[in-house]
Amino acid sequence: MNLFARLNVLQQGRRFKWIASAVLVSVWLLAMGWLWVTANRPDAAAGQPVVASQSGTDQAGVTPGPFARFVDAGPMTLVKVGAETAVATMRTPEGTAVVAAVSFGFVAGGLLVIWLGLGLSYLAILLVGWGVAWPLAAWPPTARLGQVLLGAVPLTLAFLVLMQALRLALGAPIPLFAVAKNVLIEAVRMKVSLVFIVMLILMMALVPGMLTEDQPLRYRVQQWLSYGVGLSYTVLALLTLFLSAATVAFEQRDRVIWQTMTKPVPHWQYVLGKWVGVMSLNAVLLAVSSTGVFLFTEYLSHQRARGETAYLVREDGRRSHPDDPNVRQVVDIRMNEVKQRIPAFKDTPERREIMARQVAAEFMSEDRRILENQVLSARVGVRPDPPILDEEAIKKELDERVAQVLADNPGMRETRSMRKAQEKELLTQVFDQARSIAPGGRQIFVFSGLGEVKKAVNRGELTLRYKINAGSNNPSAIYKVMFVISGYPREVTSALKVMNSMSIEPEVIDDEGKLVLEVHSHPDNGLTMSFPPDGLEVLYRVGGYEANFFRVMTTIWIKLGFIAAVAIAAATFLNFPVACLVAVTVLFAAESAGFLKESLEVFVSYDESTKTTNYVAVVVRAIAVPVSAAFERYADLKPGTSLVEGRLLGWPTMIQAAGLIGAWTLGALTLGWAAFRRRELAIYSGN
Amino acid sequence: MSEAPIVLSQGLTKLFKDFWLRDRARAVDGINFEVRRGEVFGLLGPNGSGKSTTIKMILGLLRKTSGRLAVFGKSPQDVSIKKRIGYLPEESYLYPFLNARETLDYYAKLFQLDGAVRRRRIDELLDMVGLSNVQHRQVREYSKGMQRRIGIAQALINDPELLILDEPTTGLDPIGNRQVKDLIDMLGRRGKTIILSSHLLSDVEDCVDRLVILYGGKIRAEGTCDSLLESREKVVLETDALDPQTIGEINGVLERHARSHARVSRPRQRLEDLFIGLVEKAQSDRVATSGAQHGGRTASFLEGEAGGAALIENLVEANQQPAMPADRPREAMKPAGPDQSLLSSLSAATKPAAPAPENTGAVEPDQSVIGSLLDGAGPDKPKSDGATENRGR
Ligand SMILES: Nc1ncnc2c1ncn2[C@@H]1O[C@H](COP(=O)(O)OP(=O)(O)O)[C@@H](O)[C@H]1O
Ligand SMILES: [Mg+2]
Repeated sequence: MNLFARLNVLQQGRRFKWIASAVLVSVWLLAMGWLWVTANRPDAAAGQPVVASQSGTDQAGVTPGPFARFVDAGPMTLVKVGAETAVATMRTPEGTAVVAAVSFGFVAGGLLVIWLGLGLSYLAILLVGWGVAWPLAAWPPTARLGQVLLGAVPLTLAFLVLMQALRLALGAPIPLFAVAKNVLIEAVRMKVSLVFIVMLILMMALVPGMLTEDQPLRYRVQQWLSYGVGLSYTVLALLTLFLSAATVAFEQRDRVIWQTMTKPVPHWQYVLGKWVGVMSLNAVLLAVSSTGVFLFTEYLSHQRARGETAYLVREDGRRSHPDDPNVRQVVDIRMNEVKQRIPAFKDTPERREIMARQVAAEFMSEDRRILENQVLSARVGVRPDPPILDEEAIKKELDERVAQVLADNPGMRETRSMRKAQEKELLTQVFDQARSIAPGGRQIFVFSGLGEVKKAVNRGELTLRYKINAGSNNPSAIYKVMFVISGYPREVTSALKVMNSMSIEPEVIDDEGKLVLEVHSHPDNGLTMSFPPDGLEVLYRVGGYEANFFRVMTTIWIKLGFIAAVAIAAATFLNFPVACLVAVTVLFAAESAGFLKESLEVFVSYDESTKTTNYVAVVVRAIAVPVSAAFERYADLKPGTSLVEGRLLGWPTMIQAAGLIGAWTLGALTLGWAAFRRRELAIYSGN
Repeated sequence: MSEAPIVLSQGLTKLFKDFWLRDRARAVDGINFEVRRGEVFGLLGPNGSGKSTTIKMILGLLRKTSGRLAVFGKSPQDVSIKKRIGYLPEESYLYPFLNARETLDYYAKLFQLDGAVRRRRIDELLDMVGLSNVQHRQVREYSKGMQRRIGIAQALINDPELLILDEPTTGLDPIGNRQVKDLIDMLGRRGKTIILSSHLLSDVEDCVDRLVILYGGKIRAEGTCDSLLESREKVVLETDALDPQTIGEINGVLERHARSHARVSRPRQRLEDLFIGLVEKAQSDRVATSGAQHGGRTASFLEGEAGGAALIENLVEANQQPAMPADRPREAMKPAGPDQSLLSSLSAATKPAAPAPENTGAVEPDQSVIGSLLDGAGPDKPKSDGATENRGR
């Protein structure tokens, strides 16, 4: 007891803080230096694997003794793996900056802890946590539990540090901040929210173990991203919903709010304070979980891919790293060729760098290349140009159809809306027609606007994504199709209703930035095949996944903000269960607005054939139509899917989302404020 | 008193409606009163008489149905007046997950008090309500009385001009009870305005300047304590122990004056005093407690910072009976009764020395309402109150 007290005094002391900070910073500097030297050692680049394989045997084939196994199971593995991943990252362009930034984040956290006077406490938690986890991880029956704990301890610490930082940041004596800070304390000290928080951290630590090693690396990475991001969003959405509703509703039920609102607290500060509290908790949790997801993605992607003996080392011994001597040799040869062809060509280091990256990509194993280009990347998709319509023919056909309808229904008059409906139907048919190919037939698709890709210096490869439908999509049918891309034929087979992808070379884009795709359906195919509206797309890479990852997480946070606002607004005048119900309903409506919109097209209130009005449908449409219109953009925004499919969620998209969802959030909060202001707090009709 | 009143109520009415907007209860029914600056104002009435409802309207927690209500000359919903108000609800409604210190810190921040002021006030208030040594335990672990004490501290954190206490002594032990009364007394002397509600006459009689008595949402009586409580028909006589002979003589005197129902009885020590004595002894013997401590000094910022303490000290000394230093200043005697000639004739035979009588104000309930208040303490009265025991009969 006395020892603890004395240690506590020690860690609060100024001298301790300075010394500990100095130690931490020097360790960091030393580590960075060591990593840099290791990463730039010339012999390391000569095809030596950077990351030791995970299985028990080393690359040398020596089985480690029990002691080594014990050491390997412990936290040292984390450090080792971290160091190896860092070294590997540092060998990629900009890698040094990434490693420096990420590791500085940890150092900043450490400094914060030290200066909060908690240095020794946190160190103790870390040591005790790992001390428990280590033997568990080393003993095979509990290895999994131990590994989960090994990962959970640093995540928990990160959570604690960030919460401390937040409580400091919200320390100002302003009602808004006081209310917000109170939400944070409530979230941590009330059991319900804590369950969510623990759940999130444990799941983050648990999922990596579920990724089986027998599948290609790209699938593992994709699965991890999908689980990691999906889990974070789901858990945080639920936590946000319940916490927001609870913190506002229970306070009124339990009358604790009386003492708050009889103090000089403007209503808006109370409502906004609650929101800020929930959202800063979300920010912390999202930061922790996304750091977890990011670091483990980095780790995974530096593992051996299919067809590699080690990271970036192909089974045939080729090393697909831009700095590899073999790669440099090829670059030299190609540069000379170009210079001979184009005398004016300038041989700059940048050009060489770009070419080195291209050559390295060519040297990659297929698994690695797909991983880099289709998963850990930010790609933009282009759909085929719409068919050029013959306006005259369309008009003629439309007139005929309208006349036909009038002839079939003697009492009917021609109205604008009826003509519109006919036109819509006709166009849909025409477009569907343009994507359909009979057995033995062919169809031409043009993708334009790809000029930038061809010119782009940092271009990656292009991907063609396609999905084939035919009839009622017999699950056992296999269709044979030939794609002729700018003259180069390629034959493929595919099951129906399955999304496929195929790599194509950027060279196939013509000078106008067009890519011409000719699709032939094999005569043996049973039925007319067609591509659904989203079933044909050319994707090109515009960057890596890192910045995309950040934007995806930010977008998720923005979406959580809306959930929080709805739940808070509902809870200002409804009791907890009802508020939750309302918030869930709004959320569900928002998320499913896209689906709703599709359903509404067939769900009509007036049946032309029977000439009856379905009044239930009238009511449903009256609610559903505005909802689907309002939330269409919200529903379109699928940050998790973008990340998993390696699609770009660009700054403009993110800012637009922030604007749109931000406006909705503000609207919900304003509603909550108005309802709250009108409330008589001492009348508790809520329960 | 030409100054504008702190609270002004005219025809104030509150109707509670049910879900279908039907009238359910007329909790407050057209009441008129005003609370003047610097007075201790009592709202007295049995349970359900509309005291809390009135208070909640003053605080803006409820909206009036009709009538006029101005607090500091403004609408009760106005946020700007809240800076000057402190409120203790009828029960303790606190965040269970905060500890005492965090609770006070939270409320202090709502008043935008900066760090140093906050720290000092919290320290002093915790000390005053006797929770300093349990300040890091979460409020949910506290006993009812301990929660009440935080409630009181919370109401004082902004050094309010207007302090509204809704039945402040419920749930408190006799010492806490006494402390609250002392506090009210002290704050009253410092010129604070206090609204005090209670269903116990004994709670308010020694500290309020003026009071209204509510029943069924209407005001049944109004005036100063004395004018309401003064009885012209009975008198209490308290002395040191008397031998039977003296008692006989006194009875003789009384009989000569044809007071047939008079009887001299032995005064008993008040339970409250006994209890205080016991605890004070325990404290001087340093017996530890894990519950609420006997509170310490009144927070000095409440005493008006510099100079305030000295002023109080003076007042205390002026009131203190030199012979009984343990006694509290508050027990200044109230006029016992109007029958001066009788009194003076008695005083010749007895020694009106210490101990000073606690409650000489005898009550003759000339209104049935007041009667119900006296022994209306009933089942929800948590402690045995010494005050009712030596009331003359
Ligand atoms: N929220 C409410 N809804 C309906 N009736 C209420 C409500 N609050 C108080 N009342 C009624 O108003 C009357 C006065 O209550 P209150 O002011 O709390 O009395 P007290 O004098 O004991 O503080 C009681 O009859 C009570 O039942
Ligand atoms: Mg009451």
